[in-house]
Amino acid sequence: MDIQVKNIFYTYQKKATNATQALMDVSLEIKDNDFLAIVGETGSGKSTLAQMFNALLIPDKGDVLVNDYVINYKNRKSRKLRGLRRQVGLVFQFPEYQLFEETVEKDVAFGVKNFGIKGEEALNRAHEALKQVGLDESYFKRAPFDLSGGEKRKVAIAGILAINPDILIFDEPTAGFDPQSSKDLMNLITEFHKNGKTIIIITHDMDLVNIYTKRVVMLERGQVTFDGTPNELFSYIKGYDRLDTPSVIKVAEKLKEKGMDIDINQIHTNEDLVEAIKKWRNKA
Amino acid sequence: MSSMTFGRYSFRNTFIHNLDARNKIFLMLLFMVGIFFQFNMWSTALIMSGVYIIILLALMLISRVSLWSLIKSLGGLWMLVIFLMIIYIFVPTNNPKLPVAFTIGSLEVHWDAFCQAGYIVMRLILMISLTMILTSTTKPMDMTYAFEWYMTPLKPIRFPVHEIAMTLSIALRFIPTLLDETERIMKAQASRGVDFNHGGIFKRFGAIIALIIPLFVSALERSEELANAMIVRGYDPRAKRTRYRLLRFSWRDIIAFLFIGGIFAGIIVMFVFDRKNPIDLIQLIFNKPGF
Repeated sequence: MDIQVKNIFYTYQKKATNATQALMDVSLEIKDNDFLAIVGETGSGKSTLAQMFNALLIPDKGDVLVNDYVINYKNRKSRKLRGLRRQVGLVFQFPEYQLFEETVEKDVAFGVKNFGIKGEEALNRAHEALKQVGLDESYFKRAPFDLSGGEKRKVAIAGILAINPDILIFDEPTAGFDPQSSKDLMNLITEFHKNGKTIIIITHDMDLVNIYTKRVVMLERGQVTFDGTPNELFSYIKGYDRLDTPSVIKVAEKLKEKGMDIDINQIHTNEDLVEAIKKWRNKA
Repeated sequence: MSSMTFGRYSFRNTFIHNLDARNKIFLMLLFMVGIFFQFNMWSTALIMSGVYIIILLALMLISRVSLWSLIKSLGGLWMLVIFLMIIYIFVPTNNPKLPVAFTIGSLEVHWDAFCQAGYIVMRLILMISLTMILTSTTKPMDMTYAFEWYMTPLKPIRFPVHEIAMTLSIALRFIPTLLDETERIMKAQASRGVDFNHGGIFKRFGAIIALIIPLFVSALERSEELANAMIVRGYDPRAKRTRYRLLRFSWRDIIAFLFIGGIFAGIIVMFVFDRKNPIDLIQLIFNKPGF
């Protein structure tokens, strides 16, 4: 399940005088079972890029290849592209706004039914997906509008999960969440990754990037300016105002400046830093 | 969403854009009333129609509203034209002036029926065009201020003038926001396999429900948020307030007033003349032997 992006261009409101070029000559390759973060400032084109992966937007120029699907301007009206959405699940920012059914299980089964799986089987898959996101049977018959914000978001994520796509894309999954909920959600996403799914998260939260991902792609004004590991990124973005280095890395750097011998590349979480300090102390 | 361009305000610096909104609304209504004067003779009606169309084209030229966008937006009027034709053909004309075009059984259809239908449609198109000129040259906010100004006399009888104007301006303000929201929800549901463009009527109906309900929910939530935000900032509809943008009457308004007023006077003169003069040229042409 590889994704290949070949020199794509995209412009919003092509005819208007205030046309904005969102993507300029973007090329990218995403391997099967990757855990990738796409970062960038607001308006850098990261959400636009994500919508290319399941053909919600079609590039003006260039191709996006997902498995056997070819997304380009020439076959933009192809009905086949809908089948692609079964393999690439996109969870939008604030997905809780897409709920509409009477009960939670019906809402989760909605997507499954749209792809031709009927009745009992659809409900079974809905139940399974709900359990995966941590909502037990007591939630199945409740109205989605009565749930809390975090629970709604879980239902919405289950709605995509039930379709069982191979690639999962999350647009700002933790936006508006408290730290504990963010952590829970990210652990859940890591779980999906371990089960063999390809994960792409779009974020500007560098702490998330540092803790969870293996690879980061940075977009600036519609162009890929960086592609590498999180640690490489943090040295690259020194001096950017709006992309902040994770706080753990900042502390580690300060300690290193003061003469503590720490390998910053090994530090991702608070626990890692504690370990590194302990090791240094034992040595000294 | 590009089909929503009909009559949308576009920023330009023209004579008509710079007119006072109150004046513009009044003059537009005056011109519309003029257009709906019913003339006795077909020849007067024809001449006046020509005059109206020339004035309208001139107004469009001055305000730089594109004729093409008007024609495009009138595309849906064909149904109305056919409907009016059918009505006028089957309803007998009062004292017809023109000869019989054809007969259906015992029903005589006069040429008047066609003239009448054409005349009505032409006036409808003129009205629509005028409204379009108004909306595309006046900022929505100025329009609501103008409405508020016109409703001021109702204030003593406790008519909620300011509240209505506020509701109107909020509604206008939220049209683009809701359009964005629609697009967002459509995309989210498309990710869940909804196909808005293909499929039978039942499938499409289902797709629309998946769009409408979340849209309503978010609109209601937004309105509650906005109401709270207004309360927090001490909004009181009964309080006296000053305004950032003022509506001002200028020399342009006097010129426009004189121009449309003159036209209106001309229409009245023609109306009186029409009643007194018995010779209808079109009637003469139609009733000529050999036609």
